[in-house]
Amino acid sequence: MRRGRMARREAQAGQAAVSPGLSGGKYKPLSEAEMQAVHRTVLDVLENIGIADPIPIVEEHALKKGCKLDEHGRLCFPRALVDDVIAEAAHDLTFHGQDPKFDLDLRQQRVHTYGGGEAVTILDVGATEYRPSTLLDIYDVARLVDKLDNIHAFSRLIVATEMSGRLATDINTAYASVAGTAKHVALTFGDAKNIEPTLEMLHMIAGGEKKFRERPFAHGGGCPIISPLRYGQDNCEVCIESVKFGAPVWIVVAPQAGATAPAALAGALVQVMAEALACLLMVNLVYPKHPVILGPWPFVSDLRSGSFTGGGGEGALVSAAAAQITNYYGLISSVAAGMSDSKLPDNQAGYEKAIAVTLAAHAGCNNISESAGMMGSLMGLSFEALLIDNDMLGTVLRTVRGIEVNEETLSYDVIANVVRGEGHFLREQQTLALMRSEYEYPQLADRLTPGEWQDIGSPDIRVQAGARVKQILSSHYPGYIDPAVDAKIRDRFPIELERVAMLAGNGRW
Amino acid sequence: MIQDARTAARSRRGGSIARRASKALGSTAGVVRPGQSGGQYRPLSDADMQRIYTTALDVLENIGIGDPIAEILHYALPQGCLLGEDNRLRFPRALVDDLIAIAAQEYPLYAPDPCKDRMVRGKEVLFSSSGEAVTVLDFETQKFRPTILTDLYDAARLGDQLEHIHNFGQPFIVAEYSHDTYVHDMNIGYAELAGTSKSFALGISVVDHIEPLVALFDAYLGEEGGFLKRPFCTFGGCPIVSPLRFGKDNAEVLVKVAELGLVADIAVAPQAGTTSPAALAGTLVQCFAETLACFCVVNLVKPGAAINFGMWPFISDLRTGSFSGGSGEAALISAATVQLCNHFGFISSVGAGMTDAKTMDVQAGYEKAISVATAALAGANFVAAYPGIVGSLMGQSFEGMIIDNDMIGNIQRLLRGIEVTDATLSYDVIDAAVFGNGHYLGSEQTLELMHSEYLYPEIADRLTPGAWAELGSKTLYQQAHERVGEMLADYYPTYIDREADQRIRDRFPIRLQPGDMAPGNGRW
Repeated sequence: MRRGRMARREAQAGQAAVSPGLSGGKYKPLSEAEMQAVHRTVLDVLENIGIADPIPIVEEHALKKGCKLDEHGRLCFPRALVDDVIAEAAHDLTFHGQDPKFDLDLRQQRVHTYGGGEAVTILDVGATEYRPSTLLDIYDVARLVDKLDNIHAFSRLIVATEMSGRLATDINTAYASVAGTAKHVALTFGDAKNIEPTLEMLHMIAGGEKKFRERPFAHGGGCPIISPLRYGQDNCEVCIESVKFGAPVWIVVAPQAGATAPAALAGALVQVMAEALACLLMVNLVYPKHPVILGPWPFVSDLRSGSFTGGGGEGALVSAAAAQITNYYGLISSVAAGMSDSKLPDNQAGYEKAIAVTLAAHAGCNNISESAGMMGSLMGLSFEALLIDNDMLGTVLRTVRGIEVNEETLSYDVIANVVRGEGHFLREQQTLALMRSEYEYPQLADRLTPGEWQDIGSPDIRVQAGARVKQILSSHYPGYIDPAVDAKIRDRFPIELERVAMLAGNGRW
Repeated sequence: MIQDARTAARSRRGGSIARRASKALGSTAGVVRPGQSGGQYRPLSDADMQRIYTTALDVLENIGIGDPIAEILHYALPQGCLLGEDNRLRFPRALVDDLIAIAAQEYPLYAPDPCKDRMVRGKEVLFSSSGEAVTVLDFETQKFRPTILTDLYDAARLGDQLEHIHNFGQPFIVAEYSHDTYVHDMNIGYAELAGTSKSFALGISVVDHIEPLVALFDAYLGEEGGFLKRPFCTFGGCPIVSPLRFGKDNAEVLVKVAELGLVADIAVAPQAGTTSPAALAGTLVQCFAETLACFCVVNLVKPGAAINFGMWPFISDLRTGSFSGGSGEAALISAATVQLCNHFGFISSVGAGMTDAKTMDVQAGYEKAISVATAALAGANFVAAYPGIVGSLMGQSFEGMIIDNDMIGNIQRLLRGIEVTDATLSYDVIDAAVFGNGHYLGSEQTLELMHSEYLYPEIADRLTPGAWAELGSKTLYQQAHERVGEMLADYYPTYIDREADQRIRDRFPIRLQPGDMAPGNGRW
């Protein structure tokens, strides 16, 4: 009886309740005056303390535009120049997917969520011990993300720890990523020299350089700062070279409050914004107006041990503030949220992630990274957590969508009819019409009655997640790379992901 | 630019100012405190709030509230409310506006221990427990069992020790005595008083039990009329049967509480898609109208009386029609009610943390966190955070109370926000690190802020993966289970002294035995 009704209702599918690009910005951790105070101090830092160790090409362009080297060789940026570069920077950009249905429009306070990370270990389904992550894991995680609606883009979450050569690692990571998902892919590189060959491969997959540049479905970037306030040469070169994607360059800076940034949260905010803007300046002084995703990722220390802690309220708060300030500049924001300290997908992982993601989303962050799958203060990835976090993100995004208030939704007539009529709203036309569009239904999260739940053995949600991981990964082997092109790629590049591993029935799942 | 230059000059003026200021920061007692201000999250625009309000007044004026009880008519009709032939009480908008104009903006929330008294006001946030569950989730069996009286006493003792639970709302009904409501109500009052010295609340739906409870608390104080001078317990319930009808029993309690000059603690919980519109805005309208009706009743009984304006809009999973407490819709609409309260000057109370997960797993974690965080940041005076509740309000988990206390701590840290001052902006500290040893780990500011800027969780895991594995690779739920045992084994406060206890036991059928209230009872 109930099944029949449910089935009929299921069939009345309408518009989805959440989508990528919902508008955030309704949470404002800082006042306008506070943001200005932070900004003034950021300008003080860039002008008077500056950034050490600029790479030659950046130094050359910067000096031409009025920057100065101080007596310590630090590159100092005049405040007017900083304000000008911010004003002229790209204020919107597109992430293309291999499949256009995954295209994302990043601007204003539109919110997108995804993974990202550099974990070196992975937690198998049902396991309590982590093992080193491999290239196959990158591919499998990409396939999984490909099927998860609320993870909007892909950035490898783990490192292929079994690979040694930098070039082979970078090429294979890119290959495994784009073979596994048609969503937009973010790439990082161990060496700027690896970008050209990787691009060559991506061009082949796209059907030529022209086609790739029309719809670049991947971009590059890195972490060009060694905190406090020093450029790191390798990643600076990677970021400059990443302009060749013809796609946005993603820069991330992650000073750690109490260790490589001030312990005062406002001070950490000042430094992270100064460092992030120094990266924007680096790219845009060399390539004016080239779109940059600005990633001020203020990390937090547990000062009792000095280690990084991703799950505290402080991290959530200061990250949301960083997103707010970045949006205030009109730049495209990225912060990290969802970096639980918990080692297992347990309650702690749930609340630590949810608090951070909720804040970043409501602050209007364009790109919420690390928001799915990461465990143990970014040390590991859990397959089940990816699926569970996908549900969590759906719940958060539903709150971001907000409440539409208009004549129809205010429902005066509906209320009047029900009060005078049968006394409940279940069979009202409005209820049926809104069932799918007003309400988000989680894929996994348990909504059984307590009795039903006990009858199936009182499972933790991790059990259901594990089953679903296996179901997806044993069946979803997308053929995003044309076989003929694939053969050419394998002739040209040392692809280590074996073809047989990319077909159902390989025995892995 | 002038301002820029001034700031720059100020920030270069050497380290002494910064040092002094950060010393001041370092002296802050505790990282977070009860009553920090919310309001940083505003889900609705001002125009949207006005439209919801206007439509709610339309509803009260034209549709009205059905089944008004005689006590309500007694106060309402002489002051301009209209009773229709359909037995619905209609509230003219001018009257509603007038009553809103005299709404109490704040009140003192007393606790048995006066050190724990708090003001309820503005957008200051307190976290409370609450609930009507009838089962406890057993950790070992992962099955739900009916609640007994000692559970409530134990929950009160646990809540008494949890820093971030500021007000102890009755977390569940005692199933053991549900057949005898008088015994039940006297014993829940006694159990909470015995277990906690924080302010507490009781869900009472029999009006004739209010005066005996007042007498019980007077007996505790040893002073007739003492309780009403410093009422450390609030009584409440759900006076509305949605859509738009009064419920007799709880409406009687509402009137009685107002007559006694106590704060009415109500929760109005229409369920979107079943007892209110599926459109969230429509549910807000109806819930606002229903709660306004209760507010009007209280203010017609006693103008300017305080009431917790408890709009608790619930959400249905429309595939089954069942209540879903863990949904994003629930978090969103609850935060919106808080914003409405703050905008129109009511004291807000809202339910949050009502996960649909049956156990304290990752789902429980994220569902609770999303709704508690949004309610708090919207600025709810009472976030009824349901610490420990699982299963869409069906069951209570003792472990969950401890876990949720840590979660609330994280959210408390969000409420505190980021202090932005010359000292905290840290220009001099950055300068010193860059031109000094290149990091901040041992810096004076870092040491000073270690225990004032940063909150450390009670049980949440921050070990390295290696250290965690060595300690047995435990989930938070397992850690919490061990901690519950430690916290309840020997914490038996004697808030009720022997003489007071005797006075109470002489007059009331107290079923909590002295042996249950001392170590060695075999429960823990």
